[in-house]
Amino acid sequence: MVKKAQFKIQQMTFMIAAVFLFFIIAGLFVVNIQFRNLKKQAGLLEENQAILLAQFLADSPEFKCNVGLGSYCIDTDKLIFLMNRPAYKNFWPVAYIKVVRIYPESTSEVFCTKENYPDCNTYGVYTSNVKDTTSTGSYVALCRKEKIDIVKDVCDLGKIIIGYRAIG
Amino acid sequence: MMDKKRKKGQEEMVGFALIVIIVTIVIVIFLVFSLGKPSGIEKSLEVENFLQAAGYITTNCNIGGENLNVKKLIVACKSNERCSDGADACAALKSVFIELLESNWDLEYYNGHHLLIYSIGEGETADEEEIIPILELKNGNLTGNYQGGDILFPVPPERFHINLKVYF
Repeated sequence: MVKKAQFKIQQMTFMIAAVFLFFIIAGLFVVNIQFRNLKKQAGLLEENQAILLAQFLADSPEFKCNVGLGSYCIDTDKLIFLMNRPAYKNFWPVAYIKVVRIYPESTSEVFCTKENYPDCNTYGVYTSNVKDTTSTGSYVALCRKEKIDIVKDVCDLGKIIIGYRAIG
Repeated sequence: MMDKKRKKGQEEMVGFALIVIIVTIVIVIFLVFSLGKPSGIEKSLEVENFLQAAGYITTNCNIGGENLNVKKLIVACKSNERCSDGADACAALKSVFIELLESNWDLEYYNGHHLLIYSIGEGETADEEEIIPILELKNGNLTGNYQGGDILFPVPPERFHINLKVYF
């Protein structure tokens, strides 16, 4: 009788262990899938945050186009006078700011100066001494005033590229 | 005695099977609720910024002494206007977007892209709205994951949409 009861208890123990194991494996499976989604979302949020930082800078008065043209627009006439100004040395919380024209396309990189503007495609706006950097960019329109009979806005497509200190 | 034992064993097996089935159902319901949420379009800030910035680009299509930007060119295409050099506004719009998509969403890195420009205007009755396609471009393999963006700009009484999906 005692032996039978012991056998029953043993059987019950195995049963509980099996069910417990089953729950653990199923739980691990679910956690794994959730964690994978979480990682993907974290990556996307980080990317969006960087894009928003680039957008925030593009919308600041130092870069923004004049009234009439909305957001997502950088005034390159301002940029050309803003480049490497010592007054802005610690103003921007980033490692570097670069603006690149991507449409119309050009075959080589030509850095902009007051002499060659607007026949150039890269504006090195700001560079700090931070070495280990990573970068992100956001699409913007690059607009300037041109006088052909009357003064008009001429816009190209570009990217504002923000470099920031690499983490990890 | 033997029959009683066998019956009891059978009952236990049925009980175990029932537990497994119940647990499986619970897990399946949990998975359906946690993973089965429709993901819809993966909205991309990058694609939306691209579309917003692209709207400003000055094109070669001159109408009324003004080189139209992309948004105005879309409206001109909808009205079947012609550029001052005789070119069709829609053809000019198409060539701008072909170049833009090729230079920014290179099919060497992306599977494909699908651009749709359309307008929504008033229908025959006050409750109805009429959707008029203006330009559609499909390139590459439009399968798998994609990121998309949609911008709209109103030109009363109509609303114009630019919708882009980038497949990767």
